[in-house]
Parts: sequence; C-alpha cells; structure tokens
Amino acid sequence: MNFRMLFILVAVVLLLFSVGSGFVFAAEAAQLTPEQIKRLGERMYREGILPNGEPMQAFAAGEIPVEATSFTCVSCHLRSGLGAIEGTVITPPATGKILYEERTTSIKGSEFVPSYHSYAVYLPPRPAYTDDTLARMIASGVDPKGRSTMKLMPRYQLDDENMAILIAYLKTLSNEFSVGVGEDKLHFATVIVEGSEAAEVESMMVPLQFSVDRKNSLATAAVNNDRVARMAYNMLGPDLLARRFTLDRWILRGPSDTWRTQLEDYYRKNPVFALLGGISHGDWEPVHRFCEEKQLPSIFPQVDYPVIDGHNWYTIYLSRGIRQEGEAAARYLAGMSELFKDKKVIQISRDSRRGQALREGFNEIWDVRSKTSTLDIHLPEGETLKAESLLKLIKKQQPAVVIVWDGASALPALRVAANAAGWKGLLLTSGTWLGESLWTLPEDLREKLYMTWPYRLPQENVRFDIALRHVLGGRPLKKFNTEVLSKAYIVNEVLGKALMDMRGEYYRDFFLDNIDMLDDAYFPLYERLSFGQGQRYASKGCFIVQLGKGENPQLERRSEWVTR
Amino acid sequence: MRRTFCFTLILMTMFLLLGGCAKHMNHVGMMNGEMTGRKMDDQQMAQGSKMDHSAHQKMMARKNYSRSIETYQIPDLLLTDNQGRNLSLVNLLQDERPVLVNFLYATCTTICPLLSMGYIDLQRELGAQADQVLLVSITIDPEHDTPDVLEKYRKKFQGQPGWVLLTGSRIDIDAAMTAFDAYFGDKMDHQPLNFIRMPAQNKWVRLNGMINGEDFIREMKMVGVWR
Ligand code: HEC
Repeated sequence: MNFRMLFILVAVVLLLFSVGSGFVFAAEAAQLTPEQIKRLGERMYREGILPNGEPMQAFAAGEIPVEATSFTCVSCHLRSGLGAIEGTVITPPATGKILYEERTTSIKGSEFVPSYHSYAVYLPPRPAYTDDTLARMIASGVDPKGRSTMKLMPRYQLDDENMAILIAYLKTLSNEFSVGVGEDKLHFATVIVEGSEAAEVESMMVPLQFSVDRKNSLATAAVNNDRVARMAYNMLGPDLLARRFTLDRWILRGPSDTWRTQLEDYYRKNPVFALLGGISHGDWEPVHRFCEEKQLPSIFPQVDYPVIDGHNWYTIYLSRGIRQEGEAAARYLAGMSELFKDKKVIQISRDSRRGQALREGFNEIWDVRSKTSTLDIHLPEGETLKAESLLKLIKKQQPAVVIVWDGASALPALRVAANAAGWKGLLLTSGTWLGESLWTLPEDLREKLYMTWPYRLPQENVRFDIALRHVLGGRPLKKFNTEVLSKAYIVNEVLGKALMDMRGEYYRDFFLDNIDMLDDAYFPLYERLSFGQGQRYASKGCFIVQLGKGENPQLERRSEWVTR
Repeated sequence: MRRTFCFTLILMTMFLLLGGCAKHMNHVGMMNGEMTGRKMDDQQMAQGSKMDHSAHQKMMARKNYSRSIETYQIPDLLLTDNQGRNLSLVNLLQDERPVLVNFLYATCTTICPLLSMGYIDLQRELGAQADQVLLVSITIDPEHDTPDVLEKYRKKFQGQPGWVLLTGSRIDIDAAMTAFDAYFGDKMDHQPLNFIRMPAQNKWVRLNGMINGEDFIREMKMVGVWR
C-alpha cells in the first residue's frame, strides 16, 4: 500500500467519525421552504455553488482538490438525477427515491424485460441509504456497505446545513411523474401556426398520428395478449407497452404576441408531457419561451428561425434554422480566404427575415474567422436584384466572392454576373431559397454558382424512401412534402428511442437526458444528427454544393457536411 | 478497509471491461412502425456479466488502469486547436517535450471530467514545470466542439498552458482515433484512454482507466521521458 492510499484511508476514517456520528440535519432542512430547497439545492447540484455563493469543495479520486464548479453533480448524474451509461462507465441515479431503496441486480417490476438496460446489473447491491449514510457517501465516498465510490465519484466537503439542503434537493429530483403523464396515458401535442400550408401540415401530421395510432394498437393488442404484444413486451416493458398516447393539435391564431395566452389555455385544458414537432415559418419565440417556463420538452419543431440561446434547455431543434446556411457559407469561404487575399467579399441580402437570418449567420462566423470585412448591400423588400447594377459592382470592386441571399428572382442577375467578362470570382447563394428553380439553373450559371444545402444530397437520400413509406399507410410518397415528412419521421424515431431508454420513468428532464445521450443518428433528410448533454441543435452541418451538368442534374458536393 | 479497496478494484474492472451498453437501432424504430435492434446488446451484456472476475482481478491487482505498449503510425492531419490555429498533428506530436494524448468531448458525462482531472492533476503535480509536458486532447465530437467550445472547456477546468485541445473535420478526427486504435464507433461508447509517447519511434504507452497526476508521472518515468 503506497503513501497515497494510506492518506486516503486516513482521510476516510476521519471523515467517517466526523460525519457519520450523530449527523442531524433533518431539523435544519425542515426550516427551509420547498422553494429554497429547489433554488439553493439546484444551484449546488447544477453549478457547484453553495448557498453563500462560494464554490463547493470537491475532491476527485479521493484527495485531489478539483473545482466543484466543473465537477458538478449534473455533469455526471444529469438533470433528472437518473444518471447515464456512457461507454464502459455507469453513473447510477442520485435521486432520493432510488437511493432510499435497496439496490438489487434488477429494476423492480422490470425483472423480466430483456431490453431494459439496467445499471443495477453492473453495480453491486447495496442497502437503502439513510440520511446519515447518504451524507457520509457524498462527503467521504463510502457507500452504506463500506465500499469506496471514490474512483469515479468525487467527494464533497459540505457543512451540515449545506449537506441537508443538497440531500433535500436530491429527494425532490425525479420524484413524481411529470405533468402530462396519466394513469395509463402519455399526453402530447403539436403546435401549428395558423396559415401554415395545408400540405405541409398534413405531411407532418400523418407520420406523427401514425406513430400514436400504432402505439395505441399495440396497447390494445397487449390487453388481448396478442403474439405481437408479447414480443413488444420484451422491448418496451409492461408499462410503455400498455400506455396509450394522445396527440393534440394546438393551433395558434393571430399575432404572435397573443400566442402566450392561447398556449396557457391549451395547456390548462390538457397539460401535456411534451410537444412533438410543430410548424412555423415565422415566429416561434413565444412557444420557445413558454416551454422554458413550463419546463415542457419540445422536440424538433419545424421552424425557420429557432431561438439561438446558449442557455435554453427544453426545446431541441433540428438545426439552427436558416441562419445555419449563412454560417456554413462563412466557414467555407473563411477556409479558403488565403486564396483571395485582399480581394473583397460582397454580401447582398434581401431585407426580409430570411435574408437577415442568412446575413447574420454569415457575419457572426465571418467576423471571427476572417480578417477582411464584407461589403454589405441590402436589397429592399419588393425590389428585384438588377443585372446592370450587379455587373457594375463587380466591374468596380473585382470581388473574390459575391454572396446573394435572395430567392429565384435574383437568378437572371446572377446569370449575367456569372458571365461577366474577365471576372474570376465565385457566386454563392442559398440553395433552399431557390426552391424548384434550383433544378433548372441555366448551364452557364451552374459552373460559377455555389449554393448552401443543409440536407443530405437528394440522390443519396432516396435509400430512406422505404422507411418513409412505412408511415404513410399505402399513400404515395409523391403526394407529400418529403422534407416536412422526414422531419416528423425523425420526431417519431427519437421519441421511440428515448421512451424505450426511460424504462417507465416518465420525467420530462429524464426524457431530455435520454435524447442527449443518443448516438449519432442517420435519419432521412439530414446527413447526420448528433446529440450531447445540453446540445440543442441536432444537425450541425450544411454542404456547399454546385448543380451538375445535363438534363437531370444532381447536386455535387463542394464541401464536407461540417466545415471548420 | 483493505477488503473495501479490493472490492472497488473488482468494480472498476467491471466498468472497464464491460462494453456493449450502446444503443444500436435500425432505421425504423418503435414509433415508425417496427421494432428492431435491441437483441444484440442484451446478448453482449449477458455475456459480460458472466465473465471470470478473478482473472481480471489479478490482472488489475495493482492499478486502476490497464497498460500496454503499442505501435501507432500518426497520420499527417491538419487539425485546429482551441486558439483557432491550424496545426499538423504529426508535427505537434513530435514536440520535444514529453507528449500525452487523450480523447474527450465537451458535453460528455462522467468520463471526460475524469480524464481532464487527470491532466489537471498532472499540471498541478508539475507545478512550475507544468508547461514542460505537452498535453493533447482530441475531441471526438468535432461537429459540436469548435475551437471556441474547446477553449471554454479548458478554462472551465482551469487548464494551464501546455494543454492543447484539438478539433477538425469528422474524417480527420476519425483518422486520428483510428491511428490510436481508439475508434469508438460512437462517442457514447467512449472509453477512458490516455497515451504517452515513448522515445522509440512510433511507440506509445496505452493506458485504459482513470489516471491521476501521480500515475502519469510514474508512467512517464518508467519509459524514461521524465526524470
Ligand atoms: C465525475 C462524475 C460525478 C460527479 C461530478 C458526481 N458524481 Fe455521483 N457518482 C458518480 C459515479 C460514477 C457513481 C458510482 C460510483 C460507484 O458506485 O462506485 C456515483 C455515485 C453517486 C451516489 C451513490 C449512488 C448509489 O446508488 O450508491 C450518489 C448519492 C451520488 N453519486 C451523488 C452525487 C452528488 C450529490 C454529486 C454532486 C455533489 C455527485 N454525485 C457528483 C459520478 C459522479
């Protein structure tokens, strides 16, 4: 036994004496209101900060002092407190409900469900914790059986009062099923902004409704003890199998500043567990804020302008929306800026929400990544980009790049620019904004025009058609907007995976934690979606493409999915 | 007390040797109409739990990590560090100082804080000499971990100069992981690996497990890269 081990043991023994003997904090915790426990305990758990504002004292691997603000409980046990399995390391639950129960090698009630990943199998059985043994565990890294947990779990030096607050908080974590979980039901809703195109709404609703109906017919089959149901039992477990899902449509009408009351109304009448999908080509922020406030998960709303905010938690977006194309363009150009040295970059953008999002996305990255500034030109609403003025600009500035954030109405001007005599620069625009005209670009423009494309290339996406048809119940795929359909399909996939991993523990934070812990996903439409604790924009990519030659042209990649 | 310690070791062994907790699913999942994919995992897990503990116990009797000597060919990749500088991986790893490498990512749970703890603890042990050892971390989540994100991560752990965090294109990162035989398939199957460059060409010490500063120093001394 080396010196260091001895040191740990001595420290542990001392702590056992000081903490384990006559630890009385029940009384102290009782003096705190539930709100105080929530606020102060949550800060300790999530930020590693004591009620007095000082950082907690933590020791990793027994005696190495570390910043408790970087070794926060939440970073390992996650928001729900229900822990995580990552690679070969298991972080067990740290919620009162589970800690104060004996741990055996299986999860109670699910002993016979083969698909249930149980941390319990890999951790040694232990008796139920008491307030005293839990305090001892957190302070000195010894579990109720005397086993050291310090190899992975830091220990935290806390005085009695703060320990009491932390433990009181752990008891509140994932303690009661969230709102929206009924006796035998799980309630969902989808938010649709009035005025959304009917075809789009249908393309979203058909898959969502399919999955709900499908789930409910499984539940019926379970009652009848169907053979299918017996198979499903092995995967879903008794609870999820028997549970029925409901899906409400929450239609928001009128100006967005009135949505809040409408949302409150819907929520009061039918408090749901989570929002699935959703459609808006304009505002979304009121829905986003509502979800943050109600701590209501919102999974993959189909919106053009997601709220970009490093602290939001409850909405998981498919991507950063339209601005992500602007960001990708900037990264791509910054990567080759050495090539065009001190030549100018001209950015012409439509003064619309879409143009502005692209411009802002571009500028945000460009300002950091490139030394040259852009020449910014705004195109007022209602005014078409004129070929002569574009040509004049190019002649005068001889720019390396002309970016045009505008729709198909700019194509004639772009074509003239592409043929500008003696000009060697490149043209860049948003592929998605061109709509169907993208596929009929004149040949002389194709060579010079680069476009952003935030999806997998269409020719490589066809292999997912079979999967998409699955949810259409025999209706032809052609009748649907496949982009919208695919996004709803992704909601189904992620919902199914997360629910299965939840093992019947219906807490909203756990739902999000489980999505965060998903592997990289290869679904229809996006080249790749990826997740991680707190990551809120699943697709990080966007290709830069050109249109190939010929009558049935394909998009050709000019960049990787994610450019640095 | 001694028994407690042994028990911990057995546990650690279990953590480190049990793989297969990943969640692999086919394209059409539960909510899109079919249910596939889980079976393999359960079989793997069932096998895992039947393994012979005593053998592993012996193997790991003295350390909290396993150790092997490996030969790795470092590919010539252009990666970007937490300051936004583009660096050649080959050049960087030829630094005259002792070189350590690990793989982590910013939004990872238990493993990465502990891997970073190892680095930080080493820097603390080295004190004023902290910058005499080059600590390299390569993100395995390059799409999320931009140079900015990595710099924030370093600051959060109060890493000192000498700790370089690298990101790059997906392809290059995969190539780096493969070169160190550390390709996890998915970042959620991440393992706690550290590598120490040995004086001999292309030779590396591979350490799998939780490692603190003292362990690092002992391992560096053992292969003669630290006095
Ligand atoms: C670096 C990651 C990490 C951090 C930070 C962390 N834990 Fe843990 N925790 C673990 C791991 C891993 C275990 C399992 C250890 C074992 O059983 O050997 C654990 C075990 C526990 C247990 C015992 C579970 C049981 O069933 O015996 C409790 C309680 C706990 N942690 C609470 C906390 C609290 C409270 C905090 C913050 C003050 C915290 N943890 C911070 C990783 C962490």
